[in-house]
Amino acid sequence: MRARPALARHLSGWLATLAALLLTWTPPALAQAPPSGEPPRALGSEGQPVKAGDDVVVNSAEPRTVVWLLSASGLNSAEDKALFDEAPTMFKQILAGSPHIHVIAARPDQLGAWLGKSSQPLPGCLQGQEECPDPQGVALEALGADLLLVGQLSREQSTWTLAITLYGRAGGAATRRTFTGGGVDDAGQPVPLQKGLEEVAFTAAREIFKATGSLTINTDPPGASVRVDNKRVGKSPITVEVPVGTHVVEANLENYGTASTTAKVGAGLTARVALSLTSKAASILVDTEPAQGEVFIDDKRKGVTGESFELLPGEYQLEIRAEGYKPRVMRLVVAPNENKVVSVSLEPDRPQLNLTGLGEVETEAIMARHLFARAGYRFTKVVSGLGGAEGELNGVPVTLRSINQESDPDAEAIRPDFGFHGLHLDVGYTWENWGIVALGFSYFGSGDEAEGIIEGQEGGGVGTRDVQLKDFTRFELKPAQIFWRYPYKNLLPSVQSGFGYGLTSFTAESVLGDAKLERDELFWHFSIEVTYFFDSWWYTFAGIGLHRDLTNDDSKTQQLLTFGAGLTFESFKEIGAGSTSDAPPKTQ
Amino acid sequence: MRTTTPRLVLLLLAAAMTLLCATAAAQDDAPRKVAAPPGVQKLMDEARDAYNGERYKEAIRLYTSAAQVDPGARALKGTPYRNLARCHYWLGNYDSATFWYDVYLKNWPKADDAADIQAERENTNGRRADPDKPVKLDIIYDRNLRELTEIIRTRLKNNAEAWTTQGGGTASLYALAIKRGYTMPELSSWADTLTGQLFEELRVRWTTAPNSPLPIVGANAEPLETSRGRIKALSELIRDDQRDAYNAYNTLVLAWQQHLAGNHDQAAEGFESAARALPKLGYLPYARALAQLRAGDAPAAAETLKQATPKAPAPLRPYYQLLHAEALRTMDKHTEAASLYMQVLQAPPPPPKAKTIGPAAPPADTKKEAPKGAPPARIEQ
Repeated sequence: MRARPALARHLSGWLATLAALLLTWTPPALAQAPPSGEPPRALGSEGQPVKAGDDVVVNSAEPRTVVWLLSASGLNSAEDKALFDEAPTMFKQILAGSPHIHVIAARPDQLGAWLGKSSQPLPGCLQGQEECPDPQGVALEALGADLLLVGQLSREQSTWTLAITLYGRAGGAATRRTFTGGGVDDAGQPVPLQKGLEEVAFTAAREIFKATGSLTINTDPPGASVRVDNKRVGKSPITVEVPVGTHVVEANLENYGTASTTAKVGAGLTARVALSLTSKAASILVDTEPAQGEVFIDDKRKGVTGESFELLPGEYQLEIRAEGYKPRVMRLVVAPNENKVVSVSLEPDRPQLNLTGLGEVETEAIMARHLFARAGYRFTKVVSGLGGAEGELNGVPVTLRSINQESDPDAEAIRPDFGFHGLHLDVGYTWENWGIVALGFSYFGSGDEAEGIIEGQEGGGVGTRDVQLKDFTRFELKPAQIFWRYPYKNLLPSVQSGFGYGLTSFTAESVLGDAKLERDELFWHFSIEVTYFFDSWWYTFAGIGLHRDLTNDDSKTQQLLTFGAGLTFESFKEIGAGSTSDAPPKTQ
Repeated sequence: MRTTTPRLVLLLLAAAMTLLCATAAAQDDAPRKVAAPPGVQKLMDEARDAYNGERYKEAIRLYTSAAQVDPGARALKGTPYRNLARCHYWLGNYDSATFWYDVYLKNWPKADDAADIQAERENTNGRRADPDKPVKLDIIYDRNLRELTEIIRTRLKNNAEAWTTQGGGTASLYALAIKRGYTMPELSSWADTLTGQLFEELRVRWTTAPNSPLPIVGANAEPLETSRGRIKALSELIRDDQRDAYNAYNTLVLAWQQHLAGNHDQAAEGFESAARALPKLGYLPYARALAQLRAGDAPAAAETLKQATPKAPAPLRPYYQLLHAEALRTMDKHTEAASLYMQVLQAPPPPPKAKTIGPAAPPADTKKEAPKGAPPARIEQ
């Protein structure tokens, strides 16, 4: 046997450990019978934590080579077998931070392979060179090991049991220890099998090798989620048991970000970690006009407008509430550590109409949009003699003398009703209540017919002839129509007036052929309309109006009925971008 | 006539004494119940011839040697002492003669010639200057020798070591006393005791130590030379009936000598021979296997251990298994070796530490006759 001065050197330490353990240890396994199949051993007080063999192990920082033999008892399922195969790895991982402990085998079938790789001289005591501690100790020396753990793993429902017999090289009786893990959690639910097995391995490593220590983790502020070696362990402040070695401690607290450090844990010692978390809050000031209101973030009151408050980076719903004003709700995106001022105009609280069920729109949003275009159907009733309409028949200039006036070409032309239907287009610009239709364009057609008389140019050979008038079309152009509007919620009545140019064309069919006749006019326009905004950018409208022909005496006041739909744009740029989205008002 | 008659009487007496001496010498040739140690008979014959040739000093030397070779003249039934007395008589040393007559008559009072010798003793004593004064040992041995013998007696009484590591011990003192001519009958019991002690010391030395499969032979153990000294001392003391035990231990010591010298093949043979002679020494098959393993013959060692393990004493069995495992490892049979290691590791612990493992003493019947554990002092031939 080799001389062991270290054994004596640590004797005092072992004795101290012995005393401490005897004082503090409560034997959990005293009542547990050894698993069947275990060889009977005269162990003295079985289950006692400290024995001669145990002393060698506990609290010793000497290099230890450990042969760990693990067998299974009653583990038949595939999951059990997989976990059984994983158990040695768990054990080794826990001991990884204790480099002086070298686990060289895990199961009986691996011991032979270990022997094949190791080479130990024939122990001197087997040659009579010295006394042997005992055969078990000699066996360990021959194996090149300091400690043998013979473990048997079994499971009863969710409870794992690891029965370990310890053999130390220094001789003495073996020590039996039984460890359990898993079972049920505080809620009475079965602990997952892998977690339970990890508990067993951890407990065994702690009890046998003192290969664990404690980490006490505090954070400023407390309540941070703590991870040790990337495994969540709870919220600070917290004390956790960990394997001996260096561990990565990470704390994360909402609104404060993450802080991490490493901590070295010694056997049986407690390492203290303090992490300071830095706030990531931004300063937000909500400025409202005209009134002061309350600020709500995600429906929780945060303060009042005009006073800054802190918010962590993220996306929120900002709502400003002020009595007598419409609540303003908007999306608020906060970047880390920014100072942000949100300026909001409050609208008097005027409930919007929602006639269509499509939603409501803020009047402000409507009024904030300046450009518009609209299209509609227009019906106009024209009462006109169309006298003086000119054209050509077979190259001969002709003039409409009258309609349905055969006997007396000089008689005043009668003024039949023509119903014109057509398309009307407007584009324009608004300033709050005032606006201008920059250009209005209408094109009508009519299926009405009438009888009339045309008179050809003298000498043209046409003479005065009866004709059938048909294929009426009308074109109107109305530049610079002024209008005034007044918003009532999202309903905007308006009046519009201006001057326009009209051109009526029709075909005079005669026995000599067809003649294309035209008559134009200047007219004064007035209309009353109502616009209903579905949203801030599209709407429908309807209106009535009249035209007064300023150039032809045979026309009566023309009546109009118009309805259609339109779009509004905030600017030309928006038109160019092709976006019609309901973007929130700029807040800064 | 007055002057002639006494002379004639003296002549007649001398003739008679001569005849008696011759008769006594002739009696040495008579068949004996107890065989004398080898060579002692020759000494007796030479002594007789010297006596008959009236070379009394030479006869005294030879009878002294005879009483030493046959310690205490037990086998010779005290004859050397009787004849020492007669030699001294004829040399005119009546004190010495009386002393030896007394030794003879005291130790062999029932000898066939006790009456005649008593007469001779009275006659001799009457010739002393002061017949009433007891004859003391002082006139035979000098002070140094007397002190030496006193030390021997004390050591034997205290059961002091017969042979020490330094080569001394009671056996050495005994040899010195012999060399210096001590020849008292107590030599017989001394020899018995020393023989027993030497065997016991050998037995203890070559019994397995506690918690060991073998006697300890390491650097701190008793050197092999000490055992060689005991063997040599025993060779001077043993009787024929102790020859087998002597040979057995001699073989054992030689085997260890070979083993420690690195002659493992010879050692293996020696241990095998010793195992036959000392079957109760349970470690010898183990020692043989160890020698075979050290000689590089792991398969032979494994076979030896395989055969011997079931018969090995229970306390030694784990060591047999461990050595077997070592042999198997050498043979690259790691799985089988692992199995043996596991058997050892999971075996019940040994009983409380035994002080000795092996036979208690060489011949069991010898122990019965010698209460102190010595071989039998005397066996009828």
